[in-house]
Amino acid sequence: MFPTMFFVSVVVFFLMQMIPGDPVELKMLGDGSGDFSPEQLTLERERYGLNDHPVIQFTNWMFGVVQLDFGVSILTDRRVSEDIAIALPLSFQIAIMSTLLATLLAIPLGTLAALRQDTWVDYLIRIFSIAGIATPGFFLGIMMIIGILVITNSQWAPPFDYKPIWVDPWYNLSMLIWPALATGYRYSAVAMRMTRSTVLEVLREDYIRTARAKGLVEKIIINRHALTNAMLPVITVIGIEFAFLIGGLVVTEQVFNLAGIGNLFVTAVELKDYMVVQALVLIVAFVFVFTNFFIDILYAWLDPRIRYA
Amino acid sequence: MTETVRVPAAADDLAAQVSWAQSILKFFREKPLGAAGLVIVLAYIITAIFADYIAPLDPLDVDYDLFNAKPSLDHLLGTDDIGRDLLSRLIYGARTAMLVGFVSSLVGATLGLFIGVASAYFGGIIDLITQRVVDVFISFPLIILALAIVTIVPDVEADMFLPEYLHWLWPDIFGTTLPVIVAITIPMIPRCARVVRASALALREMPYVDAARALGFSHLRIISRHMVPNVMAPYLIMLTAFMGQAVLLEASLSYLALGVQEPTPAWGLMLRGSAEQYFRSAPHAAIVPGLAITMSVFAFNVFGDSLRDVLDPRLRV
Repeated sequence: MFPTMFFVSVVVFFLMQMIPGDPVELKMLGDGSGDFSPEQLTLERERYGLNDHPVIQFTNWMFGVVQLDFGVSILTDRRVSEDIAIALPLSFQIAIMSTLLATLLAIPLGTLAALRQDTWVDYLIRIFSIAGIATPGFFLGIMMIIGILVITNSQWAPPFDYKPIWVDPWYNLSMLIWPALATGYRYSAVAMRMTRSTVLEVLREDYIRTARAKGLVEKIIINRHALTNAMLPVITVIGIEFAFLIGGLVVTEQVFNLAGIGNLFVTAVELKDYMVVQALVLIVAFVFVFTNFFIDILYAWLDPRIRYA
Repeated sequence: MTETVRVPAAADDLAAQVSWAQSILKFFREKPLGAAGLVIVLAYIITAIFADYIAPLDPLDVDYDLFNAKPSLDHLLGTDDIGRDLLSRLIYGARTAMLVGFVSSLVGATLGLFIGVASAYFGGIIDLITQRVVDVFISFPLIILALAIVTIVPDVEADMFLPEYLHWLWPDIFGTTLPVIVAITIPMIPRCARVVRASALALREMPYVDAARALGFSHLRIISRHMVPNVMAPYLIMLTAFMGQAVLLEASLSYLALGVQEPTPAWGLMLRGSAEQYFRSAPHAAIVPGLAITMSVFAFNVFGDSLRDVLDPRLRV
């Protein structure tokens, strides 16, 4: 895990070094209105440590990252970690909500589709899930807003400014349920497909036939024998998709005008504010590596075959 | 997985061709949904290639008298906020989407194929290093890595590297879509390499690979003539899966204004602007391009799924 994390940092850092243009020049001469001498530019570069050798810059940055300090944005002069701390709660809440929605939808529906394989129930659920994978999150979001406007027939739109759920739960939910649905639909579609195919696979195993042969109630066969074993790959998919949720958030937050991590990321890419981009890409990749690690541990805990192997 | 060993006999070629047509027929009969997907994909490709003849108007033409016009006989889908014909932009948008979708998935999957096979073939330290690199690149979500890369790649116009009389070789659409194509291709390479490597590992132990090595064939020849043809199933599956993803990713990047740039017609760009605004002016201006994206990705996915069922039912993408 740690080697991967280290190399991820190296890749992120040097990828950002490849962005054409000098960040200080971009900041000070960007709109052409500033008039700075080369000495002033050098001084400014010195202030951000941009004159050091890239390897030294990288080392300094890594020391910061270990202490959760992602440096100072050259464009805005704000601390990147503070910007992230402001944007994080909102995105985190959407992430949790869409994960919950996705899991609650995917596992029952996926199992149902597998149990009723090749009937209209199965087809309906499969079309629902293939459509979920094909629909872009931003399109779904736009359709939701248009739908809300048609139904309420008013000017009401989901609110913009974030209030934590413990301050004003109704306000908070009416704001975040839509982006959570828009992100969660795709997520649930992926998990649903996985559930369906693993349940189908498990149902063909010998021990299921044994359970049926000895006359167990179908409900027990499904819940206790089939589902517990089918859940492992589903958990992997849910975990990996959780780590990749930020990708969905990038577009949904844009649709609903929410000031979360995704929005921060897009703005930073637009402005070439590379300290912010660098920090966010790194965090996303770390979340992925951590999630994988966590899934591995969870596997060992859930599956005795791995524990004793 | 079944290993098929190709017999390079001339007499078999005719038989192979017959079975090609037969297997396509069989695919249509057994997988109607996948066949429907294939038909839709072909329709999109034809639209993309013949956009010049299908589109009623120039997608870049601005009509200053008609901003946000409702559908009419002159403009079947109405016009956008600066008076351009929406139907024409939709049709030309197919060209952008298909170009990006096909080029980036083809290049990404093919590079992944060779990297994956080479990694499995050489093994040892080379395999180890390749797999670590793959691990690193798989840790980034597609769209995040694409967004980070898209800022690095500049537009490449024809006059930057071609003399005047060769400009037709490099139409403007290549230049404007190049950053997006590169940004989508790079994250796909490791994903394909990983899947292909897993299948290629088993091939390395095959007697015919040993035989090829004993005959003193070069590494390149063994990889490209003996191993690559036998990992075609996972390769094709990844390829079709990537196409849908690439179209979706292009639309997302363009929607964020970080992909294909105005005034090039692209579906994602057509969806920019706030939904409330669309609702008041013309909801269909948002619905139609959105459906175009959804339907194309849907078609790629159902086709890819059926192809996977036929080629390799155990592989999950």
